Amino acid sequence: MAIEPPAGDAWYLRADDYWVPAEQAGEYPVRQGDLFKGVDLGDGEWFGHLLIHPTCELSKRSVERVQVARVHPLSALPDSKQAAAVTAGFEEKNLQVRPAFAHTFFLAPVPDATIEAFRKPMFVDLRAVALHDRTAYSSPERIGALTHDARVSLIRRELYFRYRLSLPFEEVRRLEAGRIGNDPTFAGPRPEWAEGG
Amino acid sequence: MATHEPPIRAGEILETPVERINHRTLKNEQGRVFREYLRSGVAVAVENNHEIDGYLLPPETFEAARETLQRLNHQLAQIRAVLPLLLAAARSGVAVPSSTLEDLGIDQVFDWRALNELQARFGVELTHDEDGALMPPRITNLRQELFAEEDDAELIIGD
Repeated sequence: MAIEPPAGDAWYLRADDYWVPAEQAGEYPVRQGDLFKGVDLGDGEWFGHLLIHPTCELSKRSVERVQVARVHPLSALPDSKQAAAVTAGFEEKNLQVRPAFAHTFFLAPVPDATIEAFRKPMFVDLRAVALHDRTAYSSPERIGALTHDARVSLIRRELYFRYRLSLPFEEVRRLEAGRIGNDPTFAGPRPEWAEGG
Repeated sequence: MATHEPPIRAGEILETPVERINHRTLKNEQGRVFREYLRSGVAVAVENNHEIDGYLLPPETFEAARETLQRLNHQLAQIRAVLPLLLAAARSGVAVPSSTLEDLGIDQVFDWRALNELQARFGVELTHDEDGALMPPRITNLRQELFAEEDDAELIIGD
């Protein structure tokens, strides 16, 4: 699946490039960036949640609890101005182009989602994180399997949010290719940019 | 760290009074010219046969003029950087989050798919961070950056 990287400093892929098509998703084990349905982890019911735990940790026996982040529907935002800023990930303010709401990551709708609510645009709040049982995460439970390229854009946004590191998409993808190449437990289809690693 | 710049003082510079003197006055009354004019914030145009040969400026006026030009030059670069995005947004009718478009009264209807498509294809360049400070240079090779000054010192923990 050839995916076009976002142009320039853009944060996000085209919506069609976010999710592995349902008929292929079974080949992809659960990874960082996969989307799961609502859950109550102690502060009320979440609309949905994203597995943000590092992929290479997920196969370790010692990992009993994994990190997840809260997902909201885009429609939960009070006005279209905020929704636009979250969708673009940037805003122009006084002739300056700035990241907007760096703690958020835009999620395109999952076209094949079995639950209708997930067929609409969403966003992750990277400030709202929690731990949940590792056993709760398996392919059948998954709403959407993030493509390898969309995972690169998620990691890139997290690097900016957590460490204020501003890296081009291609550089994060190069680092992820190196990680995949060194991961003996890597399973499922390998992105073409990580082949031979 | 955010840097909040003071307002540009172009008006103040433009209003600097200018006194005209000739070469002879400058030569014979240099002390008075500096005392009465330059130290009082008055610029001096030095004439020869009713043509201005040059200007003498109070130091603060010169510094303010230089700073103003630098900042206007920077603003021009900002306008050049952001203009293609604003034009693309205005032309396509996509509601890009923009205070300039808002100030201009260009009100567009939010369509997440159109905006997603535009941002992915347009190639926006981030110029500042969330707080308005200049964006640090892109890290194009993180590994090199992290290990550029690697040393092999061992961590020694005393018991």
